[in-house]
Amino acid sequence: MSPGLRRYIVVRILSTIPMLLILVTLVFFILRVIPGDPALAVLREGASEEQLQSFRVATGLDQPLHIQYLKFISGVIRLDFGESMTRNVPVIDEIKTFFPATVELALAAMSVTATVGIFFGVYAAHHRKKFSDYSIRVSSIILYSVPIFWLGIMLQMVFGAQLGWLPVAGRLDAGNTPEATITGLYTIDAILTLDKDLFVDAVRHLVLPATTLGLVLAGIFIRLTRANMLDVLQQDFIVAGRARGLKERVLVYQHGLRNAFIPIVTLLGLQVALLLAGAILTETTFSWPGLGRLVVDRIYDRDFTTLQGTILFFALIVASVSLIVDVLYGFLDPRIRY
Amino acid sequence: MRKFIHIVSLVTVSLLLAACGGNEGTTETPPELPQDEALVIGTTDSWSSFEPAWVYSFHDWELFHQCADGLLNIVPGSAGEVELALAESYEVSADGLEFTFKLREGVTFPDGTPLNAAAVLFSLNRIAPINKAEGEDAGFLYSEYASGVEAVDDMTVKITFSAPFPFASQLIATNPWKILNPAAWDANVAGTTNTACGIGPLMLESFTEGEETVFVANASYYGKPSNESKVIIRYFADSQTMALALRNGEIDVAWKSLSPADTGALEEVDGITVESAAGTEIRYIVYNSQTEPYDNPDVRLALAKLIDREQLADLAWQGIKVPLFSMVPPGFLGHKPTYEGTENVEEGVALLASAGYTRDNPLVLDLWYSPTHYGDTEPDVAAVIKQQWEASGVVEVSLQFLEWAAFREAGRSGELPVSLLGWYPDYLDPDNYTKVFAHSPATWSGSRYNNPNMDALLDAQAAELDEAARIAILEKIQDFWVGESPFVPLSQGTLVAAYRDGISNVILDPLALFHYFEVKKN
Repeated sequence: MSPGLRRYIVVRILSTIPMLLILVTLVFFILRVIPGDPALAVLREGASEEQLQSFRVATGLDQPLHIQYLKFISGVIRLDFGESMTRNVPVIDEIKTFFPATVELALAAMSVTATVGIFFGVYAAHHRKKFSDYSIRVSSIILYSVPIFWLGIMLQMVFGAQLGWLPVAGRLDAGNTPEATITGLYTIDAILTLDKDLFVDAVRHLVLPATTLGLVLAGIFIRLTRANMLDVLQQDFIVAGRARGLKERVLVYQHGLRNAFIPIVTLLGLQVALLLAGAILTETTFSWPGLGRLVVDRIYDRDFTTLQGTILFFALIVASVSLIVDVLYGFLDPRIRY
Repeated sequence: MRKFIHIVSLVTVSLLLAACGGNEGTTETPPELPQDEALVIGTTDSWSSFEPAWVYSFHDWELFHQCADGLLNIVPGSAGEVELALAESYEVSADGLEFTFKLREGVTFPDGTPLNAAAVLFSLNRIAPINKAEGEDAGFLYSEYASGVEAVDDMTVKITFSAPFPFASQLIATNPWKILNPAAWDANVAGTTNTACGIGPLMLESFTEGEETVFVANASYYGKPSNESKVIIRYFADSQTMALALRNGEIDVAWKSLSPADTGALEEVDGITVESAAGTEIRYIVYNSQTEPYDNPDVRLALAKLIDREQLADLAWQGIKVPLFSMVPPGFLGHKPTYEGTENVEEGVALLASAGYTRDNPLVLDLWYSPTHYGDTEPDVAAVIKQQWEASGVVEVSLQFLEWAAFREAGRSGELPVSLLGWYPDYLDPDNYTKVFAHSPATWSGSRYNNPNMDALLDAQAAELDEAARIAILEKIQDFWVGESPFVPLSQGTLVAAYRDGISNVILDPLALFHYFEVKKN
């Protein structure tokens, strides 16, 4: 690793700290500004004022705002996100429980996005202004415009309720949840433990949600890949390669695609934030027990601590992926030096 | 390659067209039920805690109900009738203050720990410290009524109540009163994720939040054993996915809560049975009785008279709820449908005229509701009520909504003059449908209704141990209620379960607790 790259990584990490601090501060105060008392959201409707106050004392909500804030920040510094207001379990445990499902869905969806997006984007660019190009471009716009939940419901109706090929909800069949996990990603765990049945079950459950989320995000990917490939395919080195008699497939998929890759990788990095946002809707549609569903449930409960911890965790992931993508530039394009 | 692209496009378009074709009137037969497999029940409810002393939600109570009995249990399917459970007999003192329970001999917890008086004392005495530490919730069902528990001997306990309550036995059958295994629970620390339970027909084998809860039969159970050796509860984010999963054979039973639309769709599917029964959930209108013009009982009654409950149930709830003509639902002691026959637009208009509201000077009001807490139908409920009130020509309604947490906060602080609320009972007794609402100061609902005559009647029924005398008081309360109308009953909930062929013995309990151990899967 060059000293320049090392310096760049350190600066990026340091600059992430104030960004996260601003974010958690905003989240902390926004949660407390919006109407809705957690005590009222959590306790029964007929709870007396004494009972409500008892809950506020137990959860620290009775303390002045600045004290709550300082306690929260000091906890975050120690990577202690506190205890869920509604479940009385550490927030970090909640994240550990739900995060693997989101990662598994996001990775599978990203695979669908990248495969569909890159393949069809390159194909459309290579067949510019032909019928297939127009078809792919129109399809990509439709995919990008389709609401995730609608596409999800359609896939559930067709492949689940009507054809009966795939399950419509959850991560595994009932009763198949392993007692202990290694990574929490059931597909990976199945491979590690050489459990074929678990692997097949996990993949079957992944297909519909991952396709839903992946296809919607693939729309923008197809268009970006096509645009970049069009630029690259008109450059001199492609013309020269073609003149030297290189095979068209080698020219397009090896030389062309590699040079169009930097903006695609950038978008892949940016997609992580979109993936996580999309995962919230996908997880709800497919009853997928991930972080997105956790956030939605806890918003209704006004579970401040879980929301703060989860959103901070989301931000950490997006910041980390963004940093990794920046570092990847250097490897993908030798001209880039930090 | 071009051919491939065309095939992909063709398949995509075909699938979309097939999907858009809809499924109304579908009569396809779902895949056959797998044999000798676990019974799988779907729910849209979510878990929050296994701590019986504190937790207060239907699903948590339902889970605990399978694996922990109390001294008394509610008879499955009854409207509050109790039966002996861990107690083999009990006596009530003449003044109604002391309940002495003789425990069943030879009963053990699944780990072999014996049931005895010490276990009962342990379970009931930990309610107060747990609730103090967590912010009191369900614990009030013990601490507000019972003043203490003591061991008479190793197998006998005496529970003393602070006053004679006619519904004391119903209280004893509620979740906080469940008897826990002292060897598996902490006396002072909430067992949020403790799956040890107590003594029930099922044992809680494993739990994965958001995914599933697994029960297995308790081989050492003293009573009627579970009909299935393994029961799995699967969690769904919404009714639609749960209904699809039922059709797809991923679950055997779809339980709380199927939306009216999904219920209707499932009724059309061959191989699936939809069963419904009257529930104990009620919906009602609440006025802030301290604000003008709702401090005038005539205005409250006038608005009640303008409501057509049958139409409301048909249009807004698509028949999944039934009209309710008293705050005390049918089947409960002393039920008297005193709002029946009060629906009369002319009389309502006349009452409003006496309060100064006419076509030239209409009553302008905001009707508040929460769009998600009571299901997707809530905006329709508000819209139908608005239409019915405005049809009188003397009322103008603006619909306003707030998300649940904000709705409750605003309602409780008295900011919502007219709003829509719902109620699930804590215990199956008319007291929980009357006193909890209308006894002063009535702040929790935002009503702030305060009437000494009503308070006296409510206190009298809560202290009356003679059933006939109590019924008379309850009827008097319901008669008086109409003229006061601090809360206006609208509908009674219906419990709905849908299940596949091969499933039987689904008992829809008015308390809305599903008895997993009763269901049979052939």
